[in-house]
Amino acid sequence: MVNAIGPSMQNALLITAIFAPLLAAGALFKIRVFKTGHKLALGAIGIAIGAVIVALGESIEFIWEGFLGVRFVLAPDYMGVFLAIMTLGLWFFYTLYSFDYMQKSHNSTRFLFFSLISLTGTLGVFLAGDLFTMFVFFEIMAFASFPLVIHEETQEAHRAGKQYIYIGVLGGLTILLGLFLLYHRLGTLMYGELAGALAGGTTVDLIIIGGMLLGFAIKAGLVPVHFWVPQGYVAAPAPGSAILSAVLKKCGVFGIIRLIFLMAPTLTFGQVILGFGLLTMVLGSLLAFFEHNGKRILAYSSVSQAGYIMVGLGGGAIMAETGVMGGLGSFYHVLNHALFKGSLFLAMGYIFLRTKELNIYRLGNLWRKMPVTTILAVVSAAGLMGLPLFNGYPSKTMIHHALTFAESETQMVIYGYAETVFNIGAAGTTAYCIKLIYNVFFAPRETGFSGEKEKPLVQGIFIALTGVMLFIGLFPTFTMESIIFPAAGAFNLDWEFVDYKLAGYHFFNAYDLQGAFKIFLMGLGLTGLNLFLVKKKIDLPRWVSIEKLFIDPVISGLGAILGAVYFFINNRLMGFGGALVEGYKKGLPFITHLDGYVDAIGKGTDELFSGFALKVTEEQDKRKLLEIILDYGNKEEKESDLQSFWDWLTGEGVLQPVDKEDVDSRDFIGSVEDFSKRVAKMMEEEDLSEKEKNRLEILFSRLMALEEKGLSRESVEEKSYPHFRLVQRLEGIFQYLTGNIQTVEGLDKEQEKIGREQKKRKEDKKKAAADAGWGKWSLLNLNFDMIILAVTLVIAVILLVFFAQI
Amino acid sequence: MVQGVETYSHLPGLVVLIPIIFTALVGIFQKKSFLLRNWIFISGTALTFAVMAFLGFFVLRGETLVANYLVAMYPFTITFRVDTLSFLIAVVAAGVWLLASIYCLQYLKDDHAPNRYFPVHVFTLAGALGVFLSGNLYTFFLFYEVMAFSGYLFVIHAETPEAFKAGSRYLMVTILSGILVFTGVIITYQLAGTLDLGSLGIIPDANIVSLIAFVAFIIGFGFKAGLFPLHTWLPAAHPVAPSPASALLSGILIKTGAYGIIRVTYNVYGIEMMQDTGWPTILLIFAAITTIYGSMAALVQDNLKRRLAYSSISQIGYILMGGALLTERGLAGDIFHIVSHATIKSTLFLTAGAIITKTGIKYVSQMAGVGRKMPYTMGAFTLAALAMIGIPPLNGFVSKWALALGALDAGQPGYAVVLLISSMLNALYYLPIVILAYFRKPEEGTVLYGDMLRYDEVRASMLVPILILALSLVIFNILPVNLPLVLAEFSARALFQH
Repeated sequence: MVNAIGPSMQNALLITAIFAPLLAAGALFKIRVFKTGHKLALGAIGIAIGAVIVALGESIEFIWEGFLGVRFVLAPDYMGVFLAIMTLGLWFFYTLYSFDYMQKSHNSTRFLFFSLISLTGTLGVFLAGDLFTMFVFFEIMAFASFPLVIHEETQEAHRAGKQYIYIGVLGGLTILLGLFLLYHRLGTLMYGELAGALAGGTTVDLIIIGGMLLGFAIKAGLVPVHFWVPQGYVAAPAPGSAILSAVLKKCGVFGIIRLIFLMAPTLTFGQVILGFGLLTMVLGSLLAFFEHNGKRILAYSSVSQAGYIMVGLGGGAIMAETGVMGGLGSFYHVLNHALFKGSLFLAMGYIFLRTKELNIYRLGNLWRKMPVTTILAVVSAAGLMGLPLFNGYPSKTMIHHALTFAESETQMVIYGYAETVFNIGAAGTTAYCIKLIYNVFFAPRETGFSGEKEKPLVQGIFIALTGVMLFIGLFPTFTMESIIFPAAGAFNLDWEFVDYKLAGYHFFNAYDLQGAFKIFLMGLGLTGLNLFLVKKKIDLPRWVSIEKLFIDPVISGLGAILGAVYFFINNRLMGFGGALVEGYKKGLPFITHLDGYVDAIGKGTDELFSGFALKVTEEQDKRKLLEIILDYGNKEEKESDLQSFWDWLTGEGVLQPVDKEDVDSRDFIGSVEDFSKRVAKMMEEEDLSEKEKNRLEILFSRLMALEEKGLSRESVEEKSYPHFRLVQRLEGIFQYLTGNIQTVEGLDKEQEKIGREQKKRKEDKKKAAADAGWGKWSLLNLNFDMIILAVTLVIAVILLVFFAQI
Repeated sequence: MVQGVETYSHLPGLVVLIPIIFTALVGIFQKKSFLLRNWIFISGTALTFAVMAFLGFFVLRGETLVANYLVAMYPFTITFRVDTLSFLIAVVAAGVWLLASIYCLQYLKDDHAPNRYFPVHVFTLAGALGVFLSGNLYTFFLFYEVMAFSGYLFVIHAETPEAFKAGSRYLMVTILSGILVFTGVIITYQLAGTLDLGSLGIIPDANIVSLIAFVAFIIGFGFKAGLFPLHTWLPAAHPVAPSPASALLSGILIKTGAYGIIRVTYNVYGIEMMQDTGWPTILLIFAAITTIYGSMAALVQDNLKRRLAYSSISQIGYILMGGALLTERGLAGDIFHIVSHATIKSTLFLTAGAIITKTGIKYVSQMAGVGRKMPYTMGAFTLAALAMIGIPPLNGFVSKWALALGALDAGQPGYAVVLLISSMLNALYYLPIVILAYFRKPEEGTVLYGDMLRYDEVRASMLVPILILALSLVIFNILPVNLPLVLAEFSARALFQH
């Protein structure tokens, strides 16, 4: 492309584009008024868009030698520029939208502030000219987006935030390991000099690829490191979720594109990516299929769609230079997914804002009240399903072609199976989209929501987004040729072959339409199955969770090893075996997050582990919950301690510690009040025996009384023990249900006794913690005199030898 | 920049003399008026820093400043020698010292025994600068002992039983460390016939005696630096000392040990002998253990300052590892990390002190809401914590990068992995503090230290030093020339010249 302005001007504009949001963020720090700050943010994004478009050109290269001991390079190719423009455009819409969403929220300027810094990070990732600069911005983006996840500051958000940040740090470090090795070998990290650098297949190559792939896959949310995605996306406010899903996820995808198509374009690697892609896609679809929470459906759908993109990339990489369908298709899908998934998050967020409800089975009939939202959601969902005339269709068709093409070219049956799996995943997508749209907008249910129509600003945003998506859907070939072809220049493709295969491709041909129709029919079948399952109340069993099956044991194991090593070092009395047992015992409470905050492994570990520990509870079947509680009361073997009761409750997914301010979020059982209210409501609806009713009534009246009491009885020590009160209350439930206490007075007394005991225990622990390092456990301190003795001896020997030499 | 021109100058001697003179002045005038004392106190450290910075003009021109004074002990002379390495570390030490001095005026305003603390504060600076600027091992040893013994008064300042317990431990370690270093020094003199630090290797050949001297040096300096398993005094001494003193202990004073090890390895023994014999491998292994152990122990501490102290142990592991790798990039990382850790850790200790003065909070678990109350202080803490984890573009990342490449140069990728593991652990024990302080509210009804959500920062005289230090973590890395890094690389190259 010919550009009228000179290279120095281009550089200046590029720098402006990246740092304008950062400057605006700096100004926000001073302004602290949401309305002004919002205008400022929009202005900064506008400037950045203008700067990127004006600076657009072939030869931009800004190099600053010696930055952080390496160098700072901005040298965007068309792919980077395209992604940057997409980012800025979407970010503009999301920021505009956040005016309505965040206005009444707490800390709304903080959200804007970190959103702008994340934007700088993201732009840097896309516009960087070498891996090092990309990594620097990647880390900035990873850290700056943390407050977007944690914005609500509820217990749920904190849990999600912990996962997000720690897994993000881990990903950053594995990428860094790759960069160390790569830079040490090549002495440069410029994209231009990295082509094919890792194609050798040596051990070091594999370590580099593995480390970087893990880091980027975490950001892209691929299975099996996707587990932070549903938590993070659900906890974040709607503009935050949209940003995370539509844009930040693409940073990971972008990294993987660089890795595969630039550094290691090999067959094996393509197959690995294809495998992970299929797994991600099917698993994401499956989980979304069973989900009831609207935002969570979208989150799992994001996981699944990242799988689509990976399938395309893998399919493309298998065919090397002729993998045009896969490479371009997945790249096309990056754009489409950003558009429709971001829009769906905005729509869902808007619905939540108005109705305070996320469970799709408690929503319904919203199309009358929110017509524009409905249109946006339907168009986006149609794109997500890949229906012809909507924007997901062309990209999905191309990815599908990548698989069939791979099969026909290589004559390997395995790609045929891959195609079948792909179709099943796509059918799952169709099913959950239909479920979502029908239940939220068209199901004949009364919601009690009688709000007004959308505000003009929101309407405008929604209509604009709908328009863009419809345009792509109606003119898929035009979009592909004018945007995707130039942007995909970074792919190492045979461009003559691309012209031959794809130029002027007519997407609405009989073969492709037939394929789409087949998938749609399968999807309808699955929808029927879903209806049946919902009616019969059949759900995925609770243990089907990557966290319970894999992550929790791994973390527990690590905690145990860490504890063991620490105790091994600090405990002179025990051998390693003893220390292992001890460490495991001490390590475990942190992992289950139940008791004993201040203990040997300590708070720091706990802060991490609690994040992974508990399954998020939501949408418990009412009767099931009640039965679980009563069941425990009727259990024959009554376990005698609170810990096991709590373990058991959390194990069933019934309870989890939640902040007090979280009572509004109804998917969670927060305080006892909330808990009692819900169960009381159930009692009205369900048939209970008189005995059961009596027990529950007395129980909850006592609990309510305790709640009031508890507030006045709080002591200083309790502040370091966040769930103390909840634990205390649950102890009451436990004692009551196990029948240890029959009368109201007994419960009262017992409660006080427990309170005293816990307080004492806690004080003891606190003392022990204050002495940690000096306490009786400490090897090094106990042995201090011995060390002194030993060193004195060493000195004596040294002097003896020395004088002997003389 | 070229190396090698030696200029005779009294300026280095002056730099060391100024704090000693001002110690006397503070001592004389503090009984008259505390306002006057404050002015003298600040102008003493400021003047020292100014003269120290002025030396930069010579050093950047490539000159090495040398001065000899024959004082009493013939043939040993008090010798000062300012090359790039000495200059870099000494100027950072003087700068941090100045900021800590400004900070401690407010911090110790209502504290007991100011008439002891303030003179000692200035006097210890003389000891530290003497160590960094020394031109032979004799001078080094003298000032090392001065610095170490006056550091004792930092540790016992609070005069509580714990302080005395920690103090007696510190004293024992100091004496042992002194004896061992002294052993090393006399053996060196016996073998080499000189104690000069100006050349690259004075010990003629490697034998059992020189190995013994090496081990004595390593253990002696290891005590001071906090090398595992000699670190036990450190987590006891840091929390009981007043915060500005902890910042100096952790930021500067333990670096004298690391600096000593660099000087011994590269100037006394010389790179060739070290590479031939492979003795530093012992140090390398212990440094790696120190790194991981320090981080792991920090993970379990609830006391904020104790957590920071263990973190220092871990970071000393980075530093010693860099020197022991015997590669140029590793050494550059080592030197750069001495500088960056000095700034990062003093930021952290000063913020911890600010939190203590304002809220009385000493435990991490109580820190919910501190970020709302003291946003700037916690902002500085956050920046320093991120630097410690090694997030670009902060200076901790630059050290990590250089050290890891040094490890790869040495053909020891395991040590790069140790760095990454330690970074992960750093994230695990620093980020919860930040998250707790900014994004959590204190539990309801647990009002211990006033309204935690109301904005209430410390006075400007405490806040400004913290903010300057915090900015220094970023500023130098985003300037066109990263001066500390350039100087560190240059010093490393100078020590590798054959």
